[in-house]
Amino acid sequence: MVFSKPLKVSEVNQYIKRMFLGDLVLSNIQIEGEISNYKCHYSGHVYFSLKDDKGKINCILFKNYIENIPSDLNDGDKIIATGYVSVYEKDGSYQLYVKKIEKSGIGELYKAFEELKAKLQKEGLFDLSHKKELPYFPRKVGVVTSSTGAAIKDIITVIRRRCPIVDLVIYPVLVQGVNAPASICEGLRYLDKRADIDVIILGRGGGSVEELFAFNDETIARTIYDMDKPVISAIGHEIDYTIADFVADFRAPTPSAAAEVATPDIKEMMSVLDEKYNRIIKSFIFKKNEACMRLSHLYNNLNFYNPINKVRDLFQEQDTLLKRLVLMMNMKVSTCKDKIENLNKAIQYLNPVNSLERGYGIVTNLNGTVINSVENISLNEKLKILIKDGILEVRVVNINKERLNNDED
Amino acid sequence: MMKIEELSYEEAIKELEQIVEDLENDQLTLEESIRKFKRGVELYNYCNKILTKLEGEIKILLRDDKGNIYEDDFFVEV
Repeated sequence: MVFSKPLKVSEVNQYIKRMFLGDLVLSNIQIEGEISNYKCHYSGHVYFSLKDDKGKINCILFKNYIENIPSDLNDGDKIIATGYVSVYEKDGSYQLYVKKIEKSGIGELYKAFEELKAKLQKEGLFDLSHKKELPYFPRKVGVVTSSTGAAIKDIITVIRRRCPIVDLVIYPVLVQGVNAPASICEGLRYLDKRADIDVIILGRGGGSVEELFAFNDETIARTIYDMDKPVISAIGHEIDYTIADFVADFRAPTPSAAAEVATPDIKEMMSVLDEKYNRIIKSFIFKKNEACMRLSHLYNNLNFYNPINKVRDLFQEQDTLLKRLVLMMNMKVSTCKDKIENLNKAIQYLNPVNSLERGYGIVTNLNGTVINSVENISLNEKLKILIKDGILEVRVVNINKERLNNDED
Repeated sequence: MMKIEELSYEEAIKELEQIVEDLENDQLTLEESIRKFKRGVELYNYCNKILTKLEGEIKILLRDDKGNIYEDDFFVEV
């Protein structure tokens, strides 16, 4: 039974369109499928169909969303298209209005990545205890990378600025595609065997997940794990993690950062070295001065106890004694001289000649014997009297015994 | 005591550091400190020579037509 007047075709299509747009599932949907009839129209819009083994849906992507799809889509690619399902009223057909396309292979890649990561982690390939320490100052750095990419340029730029004396050896390898893992492993093994290389950088510039996927290879992981030399991984950008990053001894976010980690800053090294030199000179001069001071102090002490000082003292004492001796002697001599002088004076005083001067005379007999008593002469005896200026011969005419009282005075 | 030329930079700087500490700690005889001082200055000169050497080489590894690896200068505009 029909309750109202018939609707126009366009009205029905409009009605269905409103229903579609009001549907929570259809208005925001992700559909996985395989591309067919892929066509880029000259208008800039893209038309294709998505299909699986049982069905098909038409798709359109307007040119304002062209940024959101991979540039290399082809028929047969498995993708996940995001958008909404709506009605094209003119044809009365529904289609998927695509806003974004991702290759659904990525899902598989990611799954493979997670599986391998879990497996190697379980085996201990990521163990911190196995990681080798990076040398502080490598003399030669090996680089496994593409010789034409941005990575090698960045590495050279940083090393030239930071530590230009370091040597670089580049082993050019393929960094993407099916042959990349074998090529990378060969480079790693070759540089690991070189005795002159101290550290190895495994690098690659930024790229899509698929482009970096070569570094998720199991053989690369095992090669890195078995290496004797430390490996720095620097693959893609900061946000990109590959299996190689987990196994490497150090994971640098970018090739520039890897070069920075691998080499020391030469200016800093120089200032460290100079600081040590200054300290060694300073402490040695201090030590030397101290030794000199100590030595001169000891010399002074030693000198203080030098026996020559004792000898000098003795000499001085001797001199003093000698002086005193001389002094005493002189005094003695002068005393004696005085005494002699006095005696001389006394003698002079007692000299009988002097008495003669004063008018006395000396009486002797003719033999010259001094007569000092009347007892020794006789009358008429001839005597001699010595006076000042001659000798008298006299005859005793009288002897008068009479004593002079003050004769002795 | 190793010959200085046989030391790596790290070994030389480590020994130099030790000598500086020994000299600063002042537990040495004068003769010892003279010997250490001499060695220290030699180590400094050695390290300094390493740091002031000419710019390092950049080589790329290539294969000749027989597949043998050889080194060649690598030029890149940076």
